[in-house]
Amino acid sequence: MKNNQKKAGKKLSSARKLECLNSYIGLLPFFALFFIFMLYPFIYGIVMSFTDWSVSSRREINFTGLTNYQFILSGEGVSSERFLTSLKNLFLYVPTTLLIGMSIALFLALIINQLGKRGYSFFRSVFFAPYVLPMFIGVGIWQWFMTPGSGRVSNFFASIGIGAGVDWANTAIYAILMVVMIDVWHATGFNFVIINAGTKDIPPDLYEAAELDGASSWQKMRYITVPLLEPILFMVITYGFISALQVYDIPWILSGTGDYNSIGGPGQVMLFPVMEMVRNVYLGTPSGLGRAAAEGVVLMSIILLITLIQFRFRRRKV
Amino acid sequence: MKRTWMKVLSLGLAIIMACSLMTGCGSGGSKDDGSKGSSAQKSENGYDLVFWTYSDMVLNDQGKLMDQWVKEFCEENDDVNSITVVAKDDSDLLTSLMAGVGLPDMFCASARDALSFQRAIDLLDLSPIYSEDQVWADGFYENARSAVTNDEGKQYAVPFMSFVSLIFRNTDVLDKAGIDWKNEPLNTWDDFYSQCERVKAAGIDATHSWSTGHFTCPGGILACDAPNLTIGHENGKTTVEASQCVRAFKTILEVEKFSNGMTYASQAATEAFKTGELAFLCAGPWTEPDYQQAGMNYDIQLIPAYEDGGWTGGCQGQDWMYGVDSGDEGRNDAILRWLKKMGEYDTQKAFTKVIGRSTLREDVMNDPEALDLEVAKVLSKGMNAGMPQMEFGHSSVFWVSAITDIAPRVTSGELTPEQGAEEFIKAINALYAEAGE
Repeated sequence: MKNNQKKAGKKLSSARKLECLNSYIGLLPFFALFFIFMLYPFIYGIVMSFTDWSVSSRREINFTGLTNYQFILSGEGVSSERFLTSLKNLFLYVPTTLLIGMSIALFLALIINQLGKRGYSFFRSVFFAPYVLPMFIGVGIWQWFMTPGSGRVSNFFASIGIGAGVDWANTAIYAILMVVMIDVWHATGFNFVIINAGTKDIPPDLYEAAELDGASSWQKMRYITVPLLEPILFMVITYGFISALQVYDIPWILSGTGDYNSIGGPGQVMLFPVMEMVRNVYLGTPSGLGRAAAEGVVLMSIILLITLIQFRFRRRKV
Repeated sequence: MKRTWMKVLSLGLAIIMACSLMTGCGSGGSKDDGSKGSSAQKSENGYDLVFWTYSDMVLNDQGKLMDQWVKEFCEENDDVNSITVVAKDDSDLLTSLMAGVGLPDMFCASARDALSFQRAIDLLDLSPIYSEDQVWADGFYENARSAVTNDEGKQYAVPFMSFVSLIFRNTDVLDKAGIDWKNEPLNTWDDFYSQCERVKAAGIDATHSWSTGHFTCPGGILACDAPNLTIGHENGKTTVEASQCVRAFKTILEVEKFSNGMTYASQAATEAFKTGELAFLCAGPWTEPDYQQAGMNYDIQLIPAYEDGGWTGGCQGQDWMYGVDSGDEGRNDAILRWLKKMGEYDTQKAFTKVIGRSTLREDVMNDPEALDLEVAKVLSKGMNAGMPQMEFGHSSVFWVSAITDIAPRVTSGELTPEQGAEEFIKAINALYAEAGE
């Protein structure tokens, strides 16, 4: 009897093994592609950040230790000054765009949620439209809006005492605010849709119970909507952080790319790390590719650190 | 029913994706040697060559011309089956070349990256075609000829296309401002200021910003002083002196008085020009089709000189054709023949005649028969002045571009023209230090 049971166990185990093997075989294409297109370039990039890799070192690439990191963080030399400026711009840009963007998206989601189905569908389409518009067209429209002297939006700001006579795209701080404005305009629709979907999942009986208890609209939002939206908000904020830290396309189009030294505008007023990495790749300077890889690793570390802090913070709160 | 359609749609999309993937896998071409890099294989009867060039060279009239050259070449050369022309612009091309795989046999690219190409790949030594036909070789502009010659005296590129920046004038706006534009060209900066004042007086914007966004406009102004600039570098420093650049910064400041603040080459400036809200637009010759399509009236002028008959400005850009050493003597020979054809008088004449773009053959640009189009006539004059954007082929430092950071600081009042000139020299030297030259 025991032997039979053992045999059955063994049989079951073999079947299980076969099933597992099949599963792994099924997963193999994913892992192969993941390794080839994600893991290998990722590791290769980190390794190359410790070398003098450049267009002129195609035959011999030398290990240079931390030289690239020392250089880009030293503040000495054009590339280093530019990279540090790009980090400064980034630290101004990321919190500003997230704070403004998320607040607007949340506000809109909560307001539009009160409307009927038709109203909701209409506004969802309106807010989502900028997200599907090709970026270069959107940025082109904003260039027109922000033209000093004749742009509608820049004139509006000038009329309320903000940036009168300022060339937004070429002036420090204003240039970053312009990028923030375009990013908020572009991304709000996406965040709005996600947050709004989250609000739909909140059970209506919670609101009914709150109403019976005499809760005001503010109290309902404060004690029901926002706490129950927390997982969605966390996802949206985390995604927003990661994409904001990699900002590239808007300032790239705004500052023009006629030559690599002009990337980021005059005085690097809207230079961000990814743009500086691109400059180092194409400029053809000694160790240029190694430096770009080192800049990538620094940026990745910042993203990783901020994401870990967010997760840690959330875990503690939960 | 709806579900069936969804299934059909999904299946269709999956098939399209699969086909795209398979097509993509096949398009990279094969590769016989990583360091040599020829993407086409020799077939039984001859070579199948691959030529990378700018995307606009494969479209419209340029595309037809290119097809004709390829057809002629394949007919004239029994050992060449075909030439596949692939559109790749500068950054795309640089990325592909630096990756070192799937390289073409020939490519056309900016002279600004010539040194990067020399460092990144095995360029074919073109000296044989220069030495075998002196008439062919002597037809190029002297500065282009010396730029493609390396320190060992060998040539590694064939000069092909060139340009200087131009001023497009919206003649409808000039009419409204009462300017007799047919008899009032922009010979000098004083002419330009006078016309800008009259346009402004008519309540229309004169021009966009010449100081922001790009090197083209401030660099174009600097180029008016090219004969006075001691261009070059020694011991990692530029030989240009600050005092030589002061007049340029004063002019940048003066021109900014007539600016409506729109950045050079921005969509806003271009649209304003096309819709009659802006009189003068500084731009490259490649933008002309855009104005033609808009159906507007315009004429073309060079960047003005300081004195009547003086040196006109504009930074001169150059595009060259290069060959990649395949390691196969027969293939290399075919590449040399193609590149020689691209440098021939008839080829470059046809290009200027049909497209209107200037080439780097001096004999073509001085041949009235080649200058049918207005833009070609203006560019022909411009090729005798202006200033090369950098020391093409002999330095990787794009020194003129340093002006992009300084010019806005001068026009904003942060720096005087004299201080701007000093800062400009410092910025150039920083670029030389970065490049290790």
